[in-house]
Amino acid sequence: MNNLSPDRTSTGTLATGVLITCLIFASMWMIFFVAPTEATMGDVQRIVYIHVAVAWCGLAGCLAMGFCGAMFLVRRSLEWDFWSQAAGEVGWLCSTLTLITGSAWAHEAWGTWWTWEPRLTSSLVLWIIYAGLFLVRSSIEDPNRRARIGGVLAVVGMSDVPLVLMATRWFRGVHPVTPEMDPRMRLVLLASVISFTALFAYLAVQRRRQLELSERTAQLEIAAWSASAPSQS
Amino acid sequence: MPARQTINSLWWLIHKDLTRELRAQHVWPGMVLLGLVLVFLLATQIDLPLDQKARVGGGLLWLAVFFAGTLACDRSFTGERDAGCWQALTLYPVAPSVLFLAKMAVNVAALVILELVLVPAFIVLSDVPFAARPGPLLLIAALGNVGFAAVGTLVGSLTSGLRHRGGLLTLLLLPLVVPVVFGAAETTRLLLTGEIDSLWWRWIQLLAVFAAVFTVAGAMMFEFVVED
Amino acid sequence: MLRTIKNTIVRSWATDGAAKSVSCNGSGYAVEVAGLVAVYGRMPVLRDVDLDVVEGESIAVMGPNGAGKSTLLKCLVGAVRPAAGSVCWFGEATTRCDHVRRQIGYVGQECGLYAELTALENLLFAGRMNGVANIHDRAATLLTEGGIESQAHRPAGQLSQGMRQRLAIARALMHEPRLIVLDEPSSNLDAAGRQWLERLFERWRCAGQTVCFASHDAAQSGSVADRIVHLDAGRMVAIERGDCPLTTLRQSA
Repeated sequence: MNNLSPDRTSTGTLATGVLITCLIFASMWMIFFVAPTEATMGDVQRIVYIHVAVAWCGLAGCLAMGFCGAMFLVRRSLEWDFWSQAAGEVGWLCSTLTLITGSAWAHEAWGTWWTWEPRLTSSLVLWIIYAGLFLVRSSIEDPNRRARIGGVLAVVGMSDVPLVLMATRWFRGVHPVTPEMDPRMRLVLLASVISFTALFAYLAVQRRRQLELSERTAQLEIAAWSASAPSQS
Repeated sequence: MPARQTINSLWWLIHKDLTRELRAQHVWPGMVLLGLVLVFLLATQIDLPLDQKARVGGGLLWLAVFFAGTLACDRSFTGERDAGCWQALTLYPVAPSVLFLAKMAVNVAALVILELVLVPAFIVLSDVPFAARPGPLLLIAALGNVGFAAVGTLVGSLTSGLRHRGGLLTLLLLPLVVPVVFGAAETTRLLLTGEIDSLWWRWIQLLAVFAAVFTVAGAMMFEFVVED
Repeated sequence: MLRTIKNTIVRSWATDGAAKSVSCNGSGYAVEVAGLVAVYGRMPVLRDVDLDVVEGESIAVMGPNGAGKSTLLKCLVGAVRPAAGSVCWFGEATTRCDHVRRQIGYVGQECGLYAELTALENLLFAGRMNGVANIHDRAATLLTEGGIESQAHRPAGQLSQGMRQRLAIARALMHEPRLIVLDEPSSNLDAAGRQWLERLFERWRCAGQTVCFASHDAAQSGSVADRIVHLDAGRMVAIERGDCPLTTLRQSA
């Protein structure tokens, strides 16, 4: 019981958390008070600073999930699977936020919540792939098997990322790619991307630790159970 | 392993699956019937002027084909897992990639059968002139089949070992093959409206790249699938 | 020198597992298992099993249900990936290479036959997968020896349990493996089938064939096995000479 102390939330973790919270508040302040109001769309354009940041985190999360899944398949250490799942879950959250913020922006910019545009479609498909993958994972009890099947699916699911990135270029989409920007806007966007990336990386690290602890708990339970079980002979 | 032995194994693996299917008809009749039901239901919903029908017909046809095709991808493994045959198969001195390619070939065959029935049925029921330009349509079908069967075989083998797997394959497979579904639907639509231009070739390229990437990826990753 | 000592130790049956530090250098051993741990889900099924199978010997694996017999045999054919420890076949640490796989024949608890293919076709298919030459002669010989030549052209799904078991064993012998692993081979057989199996074991013994099998039948194990491995709750609790009195077996089992 007493050797659990190294896993208790350390001061460093807490300090990082506080720091990242400050970062998020700072970038929010920048979005609303530093960035200039855009000429045609007005204040609504400020959604873009968050939208771009979470969209980037969603794609990065998907890639990280695929990469860690592949590493599990090679190394066969559950450690990689914890990373894969943590990155995937955080990525899915970001993917959801991307769809919501993007939809809100589109409602003001294009006059519609949703349109079948290549990048929008491929982003929605990415979200569905994530969802299906977690559904499969949740149906498998055996941690190694779950990691193996989840790993293969995560690698296959990564195939959607290039489509999201390249869709607008390949298929004449209407989604903005790299618009001209005021230097201050650029700065705010950069700050927002950095702080959100830090936030989601922090969340992924915390989630990984949680997954590892829960796996360790499960193994301790099994060990205790099999130690107390009477021998069959 | 010499190439000759590999090709031999590949052929006999395919031969084994086709023989079993022809003798017992476990999968294909059900799959074709499901496809026919879908085609019938979809055709009744597009009672539109011909030019509008041509715009949506292609998408609906491919949706019916690929939806019914998931059944083939699913069942092609479950039958073999039941009697311990799958385990026996993984213990032979045959590379996992050969097992994958054989299963994939059988699934492509299933899709071809499906298309041979569904395309004429769709033409009869909806009057959409799919067969007006058979060459390009064959190209679309060939690339679509390979791409779909590659992903379907890989994902089908993963989900066939799961206990609570009702509908899981469809849920996983259809989002993953969205590029194939969209590619086949778009190219067919452009074909029917007579616009075989650079955009058409762009979509064909996408279909071809998808098919090639997943055939290779599936063959490489099948090693991790055969473990159970 | 070291190898000679190791052989002596292992062949004396008494202190198996004493020479584990020797690396997998093949020669003389069909399978070397060291510190094997197998896990199903999170449950350990095998814990720290050490076993060297000398070429030419016959090993019976006994133990109550759930002791890990089947899992141990599956590890011996490379069908289950160990969670820890190592298994070497003929000096190779993997069954991924084809020449190792071609040395192993396995009959599992499920027969693994295609119900739609005929008995003969099942054998031919196994032969082709293993790259056997002269598969037709080989299949005919095995069907005759198994006493099922009259059933050759019936679909395997229509055969009786006993026939199917004979066919499954014949299939595992198609490629003349150096190591044969059978999981409860007598479970589906009638009296005649058991006699047939005993004769088969006798022949293997004379021919110096390496055999590992799981069994519940102490008498059968005692009569055909050189060594009997007792498993309980995933641990190896005893190894005995096969021809020791049955009373001893019962006491330890």
